[in-house]
Amino acid sequence: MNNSKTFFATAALAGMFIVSSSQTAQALPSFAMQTGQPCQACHVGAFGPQLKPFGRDFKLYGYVNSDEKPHQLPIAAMFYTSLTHTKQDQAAGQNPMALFGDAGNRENNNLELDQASIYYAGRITPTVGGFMQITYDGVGNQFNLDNTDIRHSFEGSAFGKDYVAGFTFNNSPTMADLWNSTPIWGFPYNGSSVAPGPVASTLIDAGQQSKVVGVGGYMMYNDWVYLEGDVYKGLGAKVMQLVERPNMGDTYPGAIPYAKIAIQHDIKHNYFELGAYGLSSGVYPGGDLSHGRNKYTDLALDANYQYTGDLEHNMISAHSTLIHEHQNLDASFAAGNSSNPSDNLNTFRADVSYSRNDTWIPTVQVFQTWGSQDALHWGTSTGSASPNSRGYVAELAYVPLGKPDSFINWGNARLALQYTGYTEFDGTHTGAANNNTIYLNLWIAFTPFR
Amino acid sequence: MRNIFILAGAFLAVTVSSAAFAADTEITQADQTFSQEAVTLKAGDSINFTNKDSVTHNIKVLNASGDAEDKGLQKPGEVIHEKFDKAGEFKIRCAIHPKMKMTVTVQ
Repeated sequence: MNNSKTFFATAALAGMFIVSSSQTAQALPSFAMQTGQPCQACHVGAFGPQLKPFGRDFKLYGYVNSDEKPHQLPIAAMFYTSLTHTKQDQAAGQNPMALFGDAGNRENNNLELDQASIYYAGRITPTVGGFMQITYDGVGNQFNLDNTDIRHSFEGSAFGKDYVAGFTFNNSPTMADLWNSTPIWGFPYNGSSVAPGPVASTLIDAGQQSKVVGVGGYMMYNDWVYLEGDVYKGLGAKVMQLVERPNMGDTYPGAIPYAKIAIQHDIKHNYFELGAYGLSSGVYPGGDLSHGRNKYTDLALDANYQYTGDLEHNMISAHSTLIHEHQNLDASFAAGNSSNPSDNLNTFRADVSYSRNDTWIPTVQVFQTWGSQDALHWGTSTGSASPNSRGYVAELAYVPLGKPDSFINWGNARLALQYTGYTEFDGTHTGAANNNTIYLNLWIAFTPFR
Repeated sequence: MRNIFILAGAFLAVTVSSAAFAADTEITQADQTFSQEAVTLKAGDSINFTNKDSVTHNIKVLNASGDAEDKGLQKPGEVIHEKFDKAGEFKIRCAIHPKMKMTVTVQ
């Protein structure tokens, strides 16, 4: 059964690519097709989530800007595949559906189809646009409704200054954010699904991605001050099943308020952003309602820098965030699943990247997570009571396409070699480096319509 | 007969002087910004928009009622010549780059 699913998924992907490849040039991934601009215009490195100033504007204005030419449906496809090598072999057979594995994942050197997505991405009406992504997770062997952000924007003026404002419907806190410092759009932009990772992470750190839906409003005033407020609601079990996320774990009762405030400015081609964001959410641990709910409150700071003097040839970008989470663990404590009635967890990340001709993009990042000692709550892989982990990521990406003179304009590719190193892992230094991971991945996006 | 020559001369003078006083204003687009945020013209004056960026732009002219006239795409190096015959206030936008905007007041 699994083998036949794998075959059909692979055949479908191959089919889409062949059909697309057989058409003549002119096609673009859908946003590029709509604007008539190469990927390079919006994206640092001409591929991936990292945005240039025009990319942020395009999102702020609701994904509706266009070259005003008639276009077909803004449908696009994306997939990435990878090879993962860990310093120490892992337990085999953890994942039931390794695309190129034997009976489940092998102990090491796993070749995977990490993800294949189809998405609608572009203008819906002159003032409404967005993207909706449906993803096949090749490691988990399931489909799900992935990242979604649909928004309506409008312009106005107040107190003698212009503003851009709008409404957003999206499915994760920080999804509507314009910057790459916050969790959903932060570096690393993709990573191995079969390599070991630290067990503890804050809720706002993509913990609710695609497990909630929300509506919100935002405003950029005088190109200086950004304000956003959203209210989310956790998806119920039935909806979770509809979007094929059966192993959902925690569920989130009640309203989940999220807010972001930021200031931005460009001083002589040096762009700065400083922001604060946070949320408050109830949590039924493991979806169990019998002991009441936990309550998590996350408060975070973020910062961005970009050198904008030579956007197409030499671009330096830096992003950072610091997240503090207070966990009120009433439910977990009552159930005997935490040692303390409340815990704290903190995360810090900072990365710097350089983009040369939007073709070669080296990036380095340091990360650290630390928090309360709680032997029962964290469930670390090492048995430690500490959630602490720290390490670094180094990546070199190569993007041959996405420029004005590229030989095709309907697709793009990104080949990246990523190394993740740990100096502390799940509360222990000893053996932390055994989890170090080499991740070679190929990421392809294209549009079948032009 | 003499009156005809006088009238013809006057017509020619007016025509020539009108043409002489109809001016072209030069606006460039660089770093995804118009070189001036606002200009004031006389009816019949024109603007030459010159794209000095490395990316394609677009010129859209909106009148006070919000009606838009799309002047099309403008590749790097291209010039779009736009004449303003009627008095009023017009907004100039790039449909691709939403922050590019300027105001033209025609007297």
